[in-house]
Amino acid sequence: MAPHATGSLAGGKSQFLHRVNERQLVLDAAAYADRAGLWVGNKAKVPFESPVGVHAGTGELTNVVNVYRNRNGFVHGAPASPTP
Amino acid sequence: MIDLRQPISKAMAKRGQWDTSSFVAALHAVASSIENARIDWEQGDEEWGRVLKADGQVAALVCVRVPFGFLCAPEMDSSHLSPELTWVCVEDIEEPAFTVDKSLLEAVFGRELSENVNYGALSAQDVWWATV
Repeated sequence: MAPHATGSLAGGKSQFLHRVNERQLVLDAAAYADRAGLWVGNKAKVPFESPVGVHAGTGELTNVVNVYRNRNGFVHGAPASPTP
Repeated sequence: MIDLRQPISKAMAKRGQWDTSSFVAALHAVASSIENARIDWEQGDEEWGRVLKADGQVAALVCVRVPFGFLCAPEMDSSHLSPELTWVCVEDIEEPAFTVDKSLLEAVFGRELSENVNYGALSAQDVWWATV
């Protein structure tokens, strides 16, 4: 998740907001994805009620997180395209 | 165990011929060969695009950085798909059938990669997870 927590969009990567605890957020998102059946393969798009990041492509605030899991249960994530 | 060093090195050597448009074309070439397939890629943020079958199963993983991909659809013939791309065909995307030099992957993706992967026995899905 490091590329998404540099505080800069210069690297072309969407960024978590400064006030967001991105590690806890991704764990919460993965737990919600489990409950809500959001996994498609090993990726889930999880919406939150308020913005959690800035989308690199558009500069828009986004309330969506992409979460990635592996077969050992490890997860990481990144801000995703905002919900239309 | 299949060593990914050779196919990834081959793809790295051809990275100059690989750009976003050829990457997107490769995704569409696979997707158009599978009924009701769809493409999943977060442009700019994700280093891999996925082609998903109608049931959500992964049919292919294609790398943005270099012309390399995993083809996870046994019914497809990779020789008819994007010839500039080095395909590795897998029967089970979760099977730890590969080994790869972590430093080679780090060179491809330009960053330090997770230690939470066994690079001596990893699956196509593990490669995707570590680098997406």
